Amino acid sequence: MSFVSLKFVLFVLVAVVGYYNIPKRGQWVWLLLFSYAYYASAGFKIVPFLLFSTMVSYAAGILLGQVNNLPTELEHRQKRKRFILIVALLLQFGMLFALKYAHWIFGNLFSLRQWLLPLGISFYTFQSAGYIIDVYWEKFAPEKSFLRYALFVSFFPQLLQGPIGRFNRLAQQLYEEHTLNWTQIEQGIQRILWGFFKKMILADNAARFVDEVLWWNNYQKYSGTVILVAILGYSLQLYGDFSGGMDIVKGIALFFGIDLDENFKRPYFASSIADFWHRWHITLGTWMKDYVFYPISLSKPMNRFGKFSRNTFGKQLGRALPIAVANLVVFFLVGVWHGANMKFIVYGLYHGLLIALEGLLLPYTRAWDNKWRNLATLRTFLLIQISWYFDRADHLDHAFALMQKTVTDFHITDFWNGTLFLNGANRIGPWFYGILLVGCLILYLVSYYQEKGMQLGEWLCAKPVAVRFMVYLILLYALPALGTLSSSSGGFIYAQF
Amino acid sequence: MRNFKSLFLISFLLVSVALNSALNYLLIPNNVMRMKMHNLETSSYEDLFLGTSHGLSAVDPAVVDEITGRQSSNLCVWSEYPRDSYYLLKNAIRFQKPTRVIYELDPTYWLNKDQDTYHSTKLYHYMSWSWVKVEYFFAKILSTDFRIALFPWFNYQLQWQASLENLALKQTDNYRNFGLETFDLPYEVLKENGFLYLKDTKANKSKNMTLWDEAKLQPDALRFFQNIVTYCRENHIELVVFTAPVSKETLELNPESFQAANRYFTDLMNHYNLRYYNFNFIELEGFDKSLAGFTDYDGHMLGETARSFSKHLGEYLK
Amino acid sequence: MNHQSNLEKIIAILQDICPGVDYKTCQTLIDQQILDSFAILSIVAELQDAFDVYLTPMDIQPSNFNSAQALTALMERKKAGGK
Repeated sequence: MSFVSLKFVLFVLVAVVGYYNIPKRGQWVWLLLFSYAYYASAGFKIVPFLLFSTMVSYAAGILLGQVNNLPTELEHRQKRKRFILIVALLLQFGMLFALKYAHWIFGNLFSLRQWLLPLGISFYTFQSAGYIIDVYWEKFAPEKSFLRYALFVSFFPQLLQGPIGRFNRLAQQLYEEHTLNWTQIEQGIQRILWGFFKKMILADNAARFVDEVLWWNNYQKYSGTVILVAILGYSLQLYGDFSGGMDIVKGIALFFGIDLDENFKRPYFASSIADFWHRWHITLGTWMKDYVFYPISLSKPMNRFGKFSRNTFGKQLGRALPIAVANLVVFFLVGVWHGANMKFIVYGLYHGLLIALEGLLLPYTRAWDNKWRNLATLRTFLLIQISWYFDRADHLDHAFALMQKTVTDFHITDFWNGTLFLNGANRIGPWFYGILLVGCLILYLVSYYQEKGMQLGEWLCAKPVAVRFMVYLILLYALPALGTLSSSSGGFIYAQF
Repeated sequence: MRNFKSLFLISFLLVSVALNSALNYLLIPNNVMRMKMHNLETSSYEDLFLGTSHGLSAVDPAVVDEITGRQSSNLCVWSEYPRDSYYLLKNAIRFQKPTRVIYELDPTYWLNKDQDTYHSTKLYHYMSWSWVKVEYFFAKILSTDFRIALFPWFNYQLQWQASLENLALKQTDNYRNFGLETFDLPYEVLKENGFLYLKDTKANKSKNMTLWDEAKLQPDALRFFQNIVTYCRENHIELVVFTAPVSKETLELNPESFQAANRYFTDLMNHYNLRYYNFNFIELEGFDKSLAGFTDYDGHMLGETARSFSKHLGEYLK
Repeated sequence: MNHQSNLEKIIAILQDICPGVDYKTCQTLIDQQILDSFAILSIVAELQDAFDVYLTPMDIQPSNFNSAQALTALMERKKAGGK
């Protein structure tokens, strides 16, 4: 059930109205029912995968909790806990691997991929794996009720494309009793309208142009200039699609009084690649940081390597080197997380290498970047555009071919001689660019004020009723008036992962 | 507080509905489907043609009827998938007592999801209220993009310059009386009983088309075709199926694809025990299959080709 | 080693890795994102050397890294063999 379908609109409406009209004790059960109904609407045969992930992490949590309370020696407990952790993680990631990656390594023979890739599996696997590790670390006691835990894994707004939630921040909110709060509802509506604006008007419009130019061999018809513009269009599309989707998710969660983690904070304002990952797909980044980056960095071999490195290369470089290595591992995994494709691995490693480089150069660049922040932002933006070639291309060779053509077939005159106004079935003309430009301007202004720390939602809520009425009406009607149909049949890009 | 919020909500809804109706009135031009629905509700037919844009421009009921001696209506339209055909048929039975349904089968319509095109809901919007419409809503409209479902003018979003023309048109008696005049266009003319006469205006014939690939077959297409079969049986209506020919140039480009489709559907129709004519593989004497008689490689016939084809079709339906 | 000298040692390490912050008073090193993961790990490496302790991922929590005082407390806990 796509977020853009009428069905989903009605589904949310029923869910919300019911939520506030049933006894409050039952609210979390209501959410659980709707979450499973939502997941099942994409096909009953994918429900077992969600259940499997839930059961494995639930059981692991319970077992870990029992071991924690054993009256035995610490060491003995640690051993048993580690065993439980490893088995549980192997089961979690084993399922993900079998469904998402096995066909890549072993061919179709051993893969389940050919018949299905359950929606949202990358998200809920990570969310439950995070829970297991947190319980292992004794950050909190395990959840005892299976059904309550099942809701944590399956909460429907975030099920398909995140944000990847953390038990200590999310779970309690899900189980709490909530009273109808109109301000929250209004803020939810704002977030949703804004999300649809980004998705339908920016992302989907940009996609028409991007898909036409970058689709398979189509790019050969176009000059390097057009390809570059298409990549810029893709950066708009991807941001609008993913962060717009997140706005919708957050908005819907707000309807239930639930505050999900932010997944985006104006990523294109980042002043370094590391900063970019603090602003782009934040919940994946922090997941990787907490559960991969720190554990690797603090592991014994890494400690030894760190000592060796500091003794050999001196303080600055010696400190940065082990971190750089851990980072490469993290970004290799970030790449793999996106899918079983060489291009994603290169995409991840490219980011990892840049971050490592930034770390190594930090002592020399810090003063400069602080002084010329806008230049640092521009540099970061351009470096990110290069990574989008890998992300968008159909495969690695395609990415390199696109890059090559961008450089070797670049004509500055194409910007104003009309080459950009593609003709044909795609209806791409001045009007289309006008919508995108004005849309980008609005996006920029909103982001600019948010970056300055302004809470635009609250600001709008404090305006006179007539103003809000008009703003919502205009936003709502802009969607059919200026938006277009999604090329990926109503879907969101990240719902495929 | 609560009262105030309800007031806000209600007035927002009211303004929305008013604005939406105004935009519908301004932006939506006269429409072939509106005419077909009107025909269906006001005339009576023995033969109903269901199908796609290929059927729309290939079947001239006037020519067919001359040979069969029956009364037929062409209900084929763009983006009419098996699901739509099924509900269109059910809706038709509210007004008609046909003895035969002729289904124009375009194999490629069985390969695509049918819910997310701009055209998806046009048939729906022109249906008058009934349980069939409600059923159709749940079977199709519910899953479409909410803009297609709620804002019928969405498809015409960029056509503001036509709004004055539409406004003027909708005041005319011709429009109110379902006259055909507004459909007399330089590149196509809508004829009586739903035949769209295409004119030869395109310099380059588009090569865009989908090739048959059984792996992509949509379960829904099969399901709703089966519904049509069952529905016809239950109502004692004869069901005949045909595939309109594409140009011989198209056929030569991808012979395997067309043969595979033919094998699949011949088997399927045998299974249902239905008469099936695939005119890609039936020689029609005196019928010119060259590309010159089509507007594109995909196989949309020009008006005269269609009339010649309709003559042959009439013979098969006699 | 007394508490005051521990604190001074830690502030010196912090100053070295991420200069330009008033570590004596700042209580929101993590919450305000003054220290990123890069800085945190550099600090961890230096602290492990300086205090001869071993930190685990469980120790990397905002509450432990938000101020020089919190870090000092962490080191003293670790030295004492606590968690």
